[in-house]
Amino acid sequence: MNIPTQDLDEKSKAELVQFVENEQRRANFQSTVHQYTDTCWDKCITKVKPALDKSDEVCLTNCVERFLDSTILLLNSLGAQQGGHRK
Amino acid sequence: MSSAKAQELMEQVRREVAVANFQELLSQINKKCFEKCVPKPGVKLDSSEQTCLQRCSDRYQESWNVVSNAYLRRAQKENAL
Repeated sequence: MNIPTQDLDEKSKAELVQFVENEQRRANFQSTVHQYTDTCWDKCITKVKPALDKSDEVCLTNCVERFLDSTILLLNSLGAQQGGHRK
Repeated sequence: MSSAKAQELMEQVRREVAVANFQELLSQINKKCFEKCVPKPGVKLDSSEQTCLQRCSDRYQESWNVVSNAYLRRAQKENAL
C-alpha cells in the first residue's frame, strides 16, 4: 500500500500512527478471542441448543479466566526454570 | 484528520481488519458446526442438518461475544490492554 505521508503535516502523521496502533490492537484482540472461543467452545458447548443458557455462559467465562490463569502460571514457572538454568 | 487521502486510507484499514475478522469467524464456525451437525455427510445437506448448522452458527457467535466480554473484563482488570 502506498501511503502518501509526504502530503501530511506532523499532526496528521501522529494521528495516523495512533490510528494504525489502535487497529493493530483491535486485530490482536479479535484474534485472541477467536483462539479462546475455539478452545472453550469444545469444552463448554456439547450440544447445539436453541439458545445459550446461563450454565453455558458461566462455563465459557470460567474457561477464559482459567485459561488466562494457566497462561500466567506456566509463564511464571517457565520463567523460574529459565532463571534456574542460567545460574 | 483533514486529508481526504488519509481518511480513505483509514477506511481501508478498518475494512481490512473487519474482513479478516469475519473470515476467521466463518472458518471457525464452519469447522465447529460441520463437525457437530454433519457427522456423516450424505448426498446432500438434509433439513435437520441445515437447521442444526443455522443454530450452531448463532450459538457460536453468542459464545464469541461471551468470550470477548470475559477477556475484555479480565484484560481491563489486569490493565493489560
